[in-house]
Amino acid sequence: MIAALALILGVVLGLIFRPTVPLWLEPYLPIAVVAALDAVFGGVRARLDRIFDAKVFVVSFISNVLVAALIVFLGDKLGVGGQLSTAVVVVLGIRIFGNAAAIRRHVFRA
Amino acid sequence: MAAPVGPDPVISGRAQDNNLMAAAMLNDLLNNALDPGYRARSGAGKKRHWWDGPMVLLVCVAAGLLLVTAYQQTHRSAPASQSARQDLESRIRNLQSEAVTMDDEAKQLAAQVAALRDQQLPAGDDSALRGLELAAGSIAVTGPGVSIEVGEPKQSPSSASTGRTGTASQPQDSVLRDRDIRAIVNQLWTTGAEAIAVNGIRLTATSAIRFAGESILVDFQTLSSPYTVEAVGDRNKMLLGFADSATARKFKTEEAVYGISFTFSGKSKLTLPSVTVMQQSDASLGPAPSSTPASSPAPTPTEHPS
Repeated sequence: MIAALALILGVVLGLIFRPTVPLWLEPYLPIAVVAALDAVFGGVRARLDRIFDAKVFVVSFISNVLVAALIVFLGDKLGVGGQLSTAVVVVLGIRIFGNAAAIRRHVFRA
Repeated sequence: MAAPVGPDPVISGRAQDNNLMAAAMLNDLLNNALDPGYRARSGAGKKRHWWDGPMVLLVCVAAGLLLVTAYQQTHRSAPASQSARQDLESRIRNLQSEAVTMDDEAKQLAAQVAALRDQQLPAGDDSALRGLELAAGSIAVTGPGVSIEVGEPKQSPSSASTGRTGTASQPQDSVLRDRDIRAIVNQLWTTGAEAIAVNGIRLTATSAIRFAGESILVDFQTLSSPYTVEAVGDRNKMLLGFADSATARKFKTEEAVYGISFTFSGKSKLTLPSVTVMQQSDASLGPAPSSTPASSPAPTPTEHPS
């Protein structure tokens, strides 16, 4: 509950301060968002599964974002940035769906 | 849970192996959506730290921030590029209208210069001067001639066709190129054209018909389909010569194959504009005014200074 409030606080902070992203970081932002969403959904599901662990959540969030950005960066350097971005989005998207389905099962018992 | 399945002992082909591997990987991906770290840590005895709570909250704030930043970034840059495009468009249009105004001014001034020169010249036979003016394209001409029109094949109207005529972007796969227009023009010159204009741009000895960025340029002015080549001269000779030429046959073929439009007809009265500016890059005044060269044959079309 507090975590959800913190998330909303982050959104509000972003709306108020409107942080500008440096140009060189811009290509990695969408992928980083997908990776962050994956970590967040994983954390929510773990909480519902009663196996939530703060350290795993924090580390998975940071490493997810960094690895996703690194993959896109490497892909850009190797000339396959678009394909690697697609790969990252597909894999993370499937995981988000899976976690969302598990959360749904917990919440609605269906 | 999907454990990697070993190859079937009966059908142990490499392809089979690969298929099973892929299936196992997909299963793993679909069923183990949760980060394996949670399950691994759940067994071990948990040590609680005081920073656990704040760290989670910090990460949640960061996630929210990231989300909204990415959203804003995407939605802020789209209007930015849009407005940049509109700004460029309006600047181009302004410069274009300015160019048209200056063009008209230059033509007026050129006419004034010509009128003053004609006043100063001693009265007499000025057909040599008129002939040179005609060849140089510095006066507008009127007379009988032929008009040849070729156009790109009909295509579905694109969104880019909203600009004013002459600025519409060319379809990517244009059939007509500079050499086609050049072929028409050269054919007309050989069959006795005395003045030629392409889409209202008068051709002179220094005119260039070029191709750049999927559009045809005549003297660095962009043209768009359909292209109209108008020539003043001996109408019948030009018509017969053109109809009989390899160029016309080529266009007939392209009309049948690619669906370009191609028409040509004789006209009893055509008016071709003068060139805007006469650029003299190398020519300079001679040492002494020499007598006018032997008068060239008087041009057929009646001409008038513009």
